[in-house]
Amino acid sequence: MRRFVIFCWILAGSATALTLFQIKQEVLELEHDIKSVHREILRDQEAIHVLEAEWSYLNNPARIAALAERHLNLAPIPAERIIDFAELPLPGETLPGEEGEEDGDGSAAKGPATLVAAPAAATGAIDR
Amino acid sequence: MIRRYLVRSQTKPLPPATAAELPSFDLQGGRPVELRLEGTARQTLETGRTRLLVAAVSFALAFSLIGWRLVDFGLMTDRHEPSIARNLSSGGLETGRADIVDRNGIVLATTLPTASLYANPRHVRDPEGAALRLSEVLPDVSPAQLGAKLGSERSFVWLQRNLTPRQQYAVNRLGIPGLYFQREHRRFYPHGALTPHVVGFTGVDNQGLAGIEQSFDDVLRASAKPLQLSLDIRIQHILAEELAKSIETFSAIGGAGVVMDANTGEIVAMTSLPSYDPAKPAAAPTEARFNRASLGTYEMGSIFKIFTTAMALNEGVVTLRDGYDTRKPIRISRFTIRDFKPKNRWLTIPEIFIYSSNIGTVHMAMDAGTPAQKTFLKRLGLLQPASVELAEVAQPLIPSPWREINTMTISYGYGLAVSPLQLTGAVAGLVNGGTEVRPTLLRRDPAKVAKGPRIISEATSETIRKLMRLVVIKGSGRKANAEGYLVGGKTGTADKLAGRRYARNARISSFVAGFPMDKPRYVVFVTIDEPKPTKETFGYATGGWVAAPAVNNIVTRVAPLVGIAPRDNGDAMVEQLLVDIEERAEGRQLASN
Repeated sequence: MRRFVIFCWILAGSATALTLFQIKQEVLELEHDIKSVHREILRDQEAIHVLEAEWSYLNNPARIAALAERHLNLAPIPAERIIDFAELPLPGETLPGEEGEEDGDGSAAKGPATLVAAPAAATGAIDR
Repeated sequence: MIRRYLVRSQTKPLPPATAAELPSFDLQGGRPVELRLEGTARQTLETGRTRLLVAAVSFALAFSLIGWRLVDFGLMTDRHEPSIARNLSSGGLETGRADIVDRNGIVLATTLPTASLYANPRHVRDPEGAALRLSEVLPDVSPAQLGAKLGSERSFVWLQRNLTPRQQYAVNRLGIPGLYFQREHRRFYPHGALTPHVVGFTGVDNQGLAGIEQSFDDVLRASAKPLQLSLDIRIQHILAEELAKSIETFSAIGGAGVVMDANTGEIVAMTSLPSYDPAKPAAAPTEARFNRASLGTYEMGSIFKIFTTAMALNEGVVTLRDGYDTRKPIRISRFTIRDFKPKNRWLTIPEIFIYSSNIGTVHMAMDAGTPAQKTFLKRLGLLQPASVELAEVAQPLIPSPWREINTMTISYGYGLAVSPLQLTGAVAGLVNGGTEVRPTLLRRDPAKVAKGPRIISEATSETIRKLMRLVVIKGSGRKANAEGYLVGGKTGTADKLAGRRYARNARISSFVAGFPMDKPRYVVFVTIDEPKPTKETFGYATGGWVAAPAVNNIVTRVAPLVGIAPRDNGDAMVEQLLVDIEERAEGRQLASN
């Protein structure tokens, strides 16, 4: 009986030691992993930081303006072409200024296409 | 300690036991006593037992304590204990200095890790070849210099500090042994010469030396959170571009511009030209580093008539239906005050404002009196430095003593020099409904901005807005009439002081405007230093010819960006006023004839 109890104790002890060792190894491994993940995060953060600076540099309004002028066939919208939503003609109607035009459905189709709705009221941030 | 005490207390009081006394203490519960000890032997045993007991109890206590602690560690979570993840985490990227961003989050100043290239010449096998290949990547250094450095006998030479990421990549790709990189941090300004007067710059150790970099040095060092300014880089660009255009057209020596939110006092754009590259501040001339918008003080000329008129109307000295005879120039001591473009008749208050009559304005100021003028200008913040978050803020040049002649000249903008920033803030306060604005370079939440103390009544503010609108519709500011955006403003042209007299051919031409004038959102101020007349302007270089067109372009470009929809009911707000003026003027004309 006494021997059995001692045996049990020894068994339990070594099992505990083994498990402890195992867990410790796992923890060490996880710590190693987390350290490398943190290093990676830091590297990525740094890369993002640099890219943000580059993004800001590339977004220089003067540069964008030059690029837009060179590559886009667009011009600033004159104020008279921005009208209120309520002033938009219903389908079939003609615009106040275009009444002279004769060809029936052509003017109705042409009318709204030349219009630009008023910009949203909010100050739009540059889309990033 | 305790154990020893117990043992001692046990031993001492025990009296020497005798055999005769023993039977009366039957400790064995009636069973025959097998062993009887007497005297010292018994005492020793007793002591031993007690000691054993005490030791066992202490050990049991110690072990149960350890056991309990084990359970505590293993099962109970301690809330004071830091989690492993936080313990090991880096806490984010540390650059040592926070970014500065504009109101939309665009980076204006940032700290970047840079690589500096150095070499250990002893490890470089072929110095000549390496120098030749390196010089293709680093165009700033000549191959001869590089060759000399790489061929030296030392073990450490700097080749180039602060390489760009591209250069670093290129150097790495060359694969020359013996070259190494040293990591360093350096401040970068992606927008270069667009914002240096606001953002400022830093020195070699990244300490702030000017602008926001200087005034928020501690904040930027302490926090990792970006500092958000009220600037909008797009509006800043528009302002700078239009200013530069005007300066070029009129061969001026410089200029300054401010765009301010009329309600919150946020400065959305502030520029001073000529500008400089904040990456190389030492290379810039002092002239370029000078912030004309906040550190320069100028006599603003006729723009001050806004203040005189507002004061006279607000104090009840005159009403819109009153007027003054402007036929006679005003003579005081050795000066004569004349009109630039005399109308030679009786003018109503709106006409005096629209035609920018010096004589009429002086009459108005004299009727209000010197103390009223002084108090009013003080309330507008024109007699103390602007309260903005910059170290480069000018002290206005105030006449001392403030005589009658000063009251007269100040009423039309001579004799009191203020900074463009102060002026913009004062005008914003007048047109926004009459409450003071506090100019700021930091972004404010419009919901959280409390209205400032009242400067003028709401009614006077509306009148001033109408008068300014009239200037743009009918007066000297017609060139600023950006279609659809209800611009209202006032021109100002001031001769510059050259020594002790005013120069005839060196002037400061400015224009201040608010838009849209029925409910102003922004105030724009543009000033051009020493514009020269051109053929296109028929020999004029006044505010109406020089600065007003620039304001027109700025408003036309800025309004769609900030979401102001154009309208065409611009004249509706001033129609009644126009009719009134004509009636009054005609009536007066008839009466005097």
